[in-house]
Amino acid sequence: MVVHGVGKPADCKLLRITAEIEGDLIRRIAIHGDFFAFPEEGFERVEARLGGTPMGQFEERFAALMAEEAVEGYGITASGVAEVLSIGVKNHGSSL
Amino acid sequence: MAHPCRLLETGFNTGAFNMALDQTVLEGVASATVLPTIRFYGWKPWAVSIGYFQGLEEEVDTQACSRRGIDVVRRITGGGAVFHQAEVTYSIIIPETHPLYRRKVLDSYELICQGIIDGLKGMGVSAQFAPINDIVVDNRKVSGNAQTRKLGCILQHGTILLDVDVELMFSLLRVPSEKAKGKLIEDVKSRVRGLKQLLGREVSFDETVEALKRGFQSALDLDYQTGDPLPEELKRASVVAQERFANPEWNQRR
Repeated sequence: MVVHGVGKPADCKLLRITAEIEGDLIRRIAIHGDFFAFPEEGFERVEARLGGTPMGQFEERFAALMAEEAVEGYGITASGVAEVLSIGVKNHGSSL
Repeated sequence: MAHPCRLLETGFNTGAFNMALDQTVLEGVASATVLPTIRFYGWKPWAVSIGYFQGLEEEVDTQACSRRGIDVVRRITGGGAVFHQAEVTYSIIIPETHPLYRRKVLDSYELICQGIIDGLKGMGVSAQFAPINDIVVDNRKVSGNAQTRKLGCILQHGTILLDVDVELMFSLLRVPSEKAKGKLIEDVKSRVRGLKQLLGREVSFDETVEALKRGFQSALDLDYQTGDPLPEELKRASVVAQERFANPEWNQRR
């Protein structure tokens, strides 16, 4: 299933997330928004590497990858991204 | 001792050319073929620029922009969508070896934004830095800024609002619904100010540029060397504009 979430969690700018989820796994995720991330290419590697992450480990994995890729985020947090992803999942469930 | 800085005023150009020239100057500063550079410019035609991480069609009604002859361009910097209409845009590029370089992103935003604050003070406007990247007057935003770090340099660019046509802006940006649009328009009208509203008079592009030049000079201790872009910079910017910023592949990458 493909889910879309939009939100402005605490300490975050507006985030828009689209994720392709199969079973419990995130196959692909696109994290859009008016945040800043340095280096930008590092953030794109984080997005790509999130593929295959179990939903229940998403926040931890996002934070770990940001650290591994040495990405500094401004207006984006692991908990904020996880929150907006959850909004997307919930919206998909309620629209069925 | 003041820091030598090339000063460029490149007038009004397309969105693609403006962003291409920022990138070209970044390349030149990185290779030390030009001095650290500050540039002031405008947009013609009017344009919407989006941040590096934004989704184009999520944020912009590209058909509405096309109908009105308004450019659309993706920046290399993050941040939000900006409608470039009545404003002055600046960019400043310094290498990481420069005394003005700050390792912490927030510190460098604050330092560079002081140039705008000093410039506005010279116009009789008392402004404050609002982290991460805004400048406000009585909590109302008058300037937004965006920074990237590439090729061993900091590039920061931003806008100082002269006036705000909020209705026109929201006819170009995506909003969830007409109901939301009405609320958003009122919200933005209350939270954003142009110099015209702040000073109660018309404020020209040129007057604002002069004030900002003085402000940056004072805040960052700059020794201006006024010039024009090099012929090779203009040539390179034309190529970059065509290959990247005017290319749908770039603008539609998210």
